Amino acid sequence: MLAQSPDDTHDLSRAIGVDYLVLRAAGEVCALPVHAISEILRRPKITPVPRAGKAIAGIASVRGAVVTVFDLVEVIDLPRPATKVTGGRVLLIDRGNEKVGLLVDSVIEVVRIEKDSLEHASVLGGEPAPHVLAVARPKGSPIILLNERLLFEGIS
Amino acid sequence: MAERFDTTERAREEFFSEAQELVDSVGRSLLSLDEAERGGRTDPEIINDIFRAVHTLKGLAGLFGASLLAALTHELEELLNELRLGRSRMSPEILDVLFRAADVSAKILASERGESLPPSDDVRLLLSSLGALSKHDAEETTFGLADYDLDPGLLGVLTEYEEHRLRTNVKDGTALFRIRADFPLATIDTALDQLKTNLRPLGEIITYLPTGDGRAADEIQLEILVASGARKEVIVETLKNDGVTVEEVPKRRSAQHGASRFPPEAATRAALYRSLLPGAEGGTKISLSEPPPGDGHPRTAYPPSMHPMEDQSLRSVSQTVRVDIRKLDRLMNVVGELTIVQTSVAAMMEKMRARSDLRDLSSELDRLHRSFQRNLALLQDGILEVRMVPLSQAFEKLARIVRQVSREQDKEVNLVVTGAETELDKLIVEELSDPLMHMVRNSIDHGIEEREERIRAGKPRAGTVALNAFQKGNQVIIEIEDDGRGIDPVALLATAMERELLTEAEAATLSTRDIFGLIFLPGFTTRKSATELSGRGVGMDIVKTNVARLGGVIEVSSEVMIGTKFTVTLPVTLAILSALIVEVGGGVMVLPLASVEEVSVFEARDIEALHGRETVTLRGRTLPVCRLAKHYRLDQTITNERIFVIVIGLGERRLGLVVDRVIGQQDVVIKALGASLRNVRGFAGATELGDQRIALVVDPASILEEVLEGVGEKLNMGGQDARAVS
Repeated sequence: MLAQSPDDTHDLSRAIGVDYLVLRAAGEVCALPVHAISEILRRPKITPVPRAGKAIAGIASVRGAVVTVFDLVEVIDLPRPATKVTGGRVLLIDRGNEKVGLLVDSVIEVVRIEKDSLEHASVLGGEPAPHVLAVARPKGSPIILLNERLLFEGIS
Repeated sequence: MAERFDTTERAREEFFSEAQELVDSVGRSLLSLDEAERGGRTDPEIINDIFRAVHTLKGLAGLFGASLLAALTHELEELLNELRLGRSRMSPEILDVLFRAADVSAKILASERGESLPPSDDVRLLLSSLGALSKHDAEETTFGLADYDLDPGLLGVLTEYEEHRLRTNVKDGTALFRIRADFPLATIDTALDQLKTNLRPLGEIITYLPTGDGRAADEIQLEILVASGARKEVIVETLKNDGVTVEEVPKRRSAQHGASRFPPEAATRAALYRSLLPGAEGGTKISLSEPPPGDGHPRTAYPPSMHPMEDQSLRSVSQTVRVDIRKLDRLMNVVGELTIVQTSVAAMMEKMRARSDLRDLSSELDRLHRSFQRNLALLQDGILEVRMVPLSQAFEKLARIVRQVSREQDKEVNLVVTGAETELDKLIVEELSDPLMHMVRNSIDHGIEEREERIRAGKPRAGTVALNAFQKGNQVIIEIEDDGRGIDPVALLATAMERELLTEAEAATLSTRDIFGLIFLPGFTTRKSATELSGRGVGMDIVKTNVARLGGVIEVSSEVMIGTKFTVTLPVTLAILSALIVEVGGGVMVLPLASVEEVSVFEARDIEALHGRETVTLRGRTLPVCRLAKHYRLDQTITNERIFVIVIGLGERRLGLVVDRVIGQQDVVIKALGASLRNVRGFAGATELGDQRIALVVDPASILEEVLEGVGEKLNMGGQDARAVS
């Protein structure tokens, strides 16, 4: 459901001066604000859950607690590359009422986003997806900044 | 995820649990009071109990700055004080207000916990009803106690409550008796209790005090003032084994009338105690404060000097501790981790056993391992036992619902409870409260007929709702039964078709049991249709969902004109599970052993399709089966010649689950799935099997439901597809 997005959906100013964790998923480089991530884990053993939505990779044990792990590639609906990259890291983030894992291929670095390097999400053409906050070029090459608040929008 | 409480938070936690207990106890007392009132008598003891509970609650509320609660309890305390001192008379209206007050107090507590908004409007309304109640109906007893030859010293130490009880009895013309009894100090508590028990049927104990005339040094004499309608000989006869003297308090001839207050110069209770203590004046300094208001009957009236100092009042009478259930969950997690350690040790032992040079060490390790295993099992049982609470915790709340609903609807309803002592996991009892409340409400709302209708039908005026609980193996059964009008299956079917929940052709194939099962369909929830039809169905689908979430099943049976019975079958605990480990579609899954009846091996060709459903023949009977891999839409690459059929049974229903392989049996700690997986049906949770691998725990109840209920399956599939799209 992409119908009504809150006003701050593509509000660039939220990213200014914020530290972002740059990561790779399905070959694409994107970033999530560091404050949204509570932990970065080596990929644990993930048990698939039959009949769960396709965005859910499965469940894993994190120090005795059962955590639902989402596949970022499916969450933000990226095309899956032909050569299957196996996710190597799981980020623990808050999804409102529970802490969930987010499976990514790898994490690259932390960068601070400056105002000059920001571009509006609309540069991607058409109506940008709600989870895309903006495009940034902290070091020249473009990175998709993900909106952590709307990441799970449209996922049951 | 360790939650740490700082001290203030912990104190608040304790405030909540203590306050909750007080509110619950007030609720219980109100029920007994209500029962007594309906029997036409007012029980002053109970009113006094409630008063004391409210008084304590007020203190707590003040301490924790719960201002709404403090304001409410303050007004309540006033009213209760008036009642207890006989200045106001108990009435159904007052009882209603008191019941409401208990409910509102519970709401305030919930809001203080941050679970809901403060019920300010409720409190305001209640305070205004309280205001309207008090201050009228005052009847000050002015009967002269001076008519009786009572010791002014004794009169002077009566609490206001005791004085009121004394006056009431005197006014009623009940005779007063003075009983003197000697008690050995060592056994005074039990002996006094015994005497009180013996006296209770005869009359009311107003007060008791030490006389200071003990026969021996290690004995104490108490004077007990009793109001009794019995003759002196009867009392003497009743107490003949207690070694007491009984004396009727004579009436004075030259009585001065109208004296309503006692001489102010009379000693306080503390002063009197002190005068009784030869040693207390000097060395040991014991400060005895005034008893709290309403504490009319001190349990121990013997001189404090008889106790060593450190044994005094700081020690609490209660031997119990209150524990946050989350702490038990954490302990349970540790037990789970230990079980994994134990499995690894066992594996290591096997390796060592193979080496001849390590034989001695290996047998020693074996011994240690056995002891480890045994103690671990004890630890696990111990934690589980702590989690168990009697169902009465849930049933007591239901008694209040019964009262409330029957008054709202002007129906007479008797609630009959059996097996309230049956124990279940605390979590299950908590989660069960709402479903049970729904069912009981429904029973009165729709099951029990109007008074006239019952009389016409030749039934007793008062309807009966019975709650029965009992344990059966690893399961607890709870029945909710009423003697109301029952459910008419024909009308039920008609409505289901009208609402297009099933076609005529489908309807024709349903058994009576299936038909009654229709009331659990989501389409049946609208209140209007339920009332028009047969009077069932308010939120029954929600009830069913909640029961299923606890790993239970609910069934209904009914006979028109005779009544309706709901049967809820639940596991005893959720925390730990004896489980069967199986392989399904290449992965490992876990099945709760409690619902497994047997495991059988069949040839693949033994499966027959009957009426579009796969079945096997087990001991000459047809058993429907479900291929678990197919059910969970997993790849079915494995095609065995031999198949394993696990027969699961819940309540009256059976189903065979086809799995690839049975791996073994193990106790597992079950953990809840996250909120993101709430919509995925078929699993009760997950568990760690060692090696940090997580296995899903199959939920037999939901599979039974999906597979066996054709209609249900259809609806659920619809839901599944909708999810797959999103």
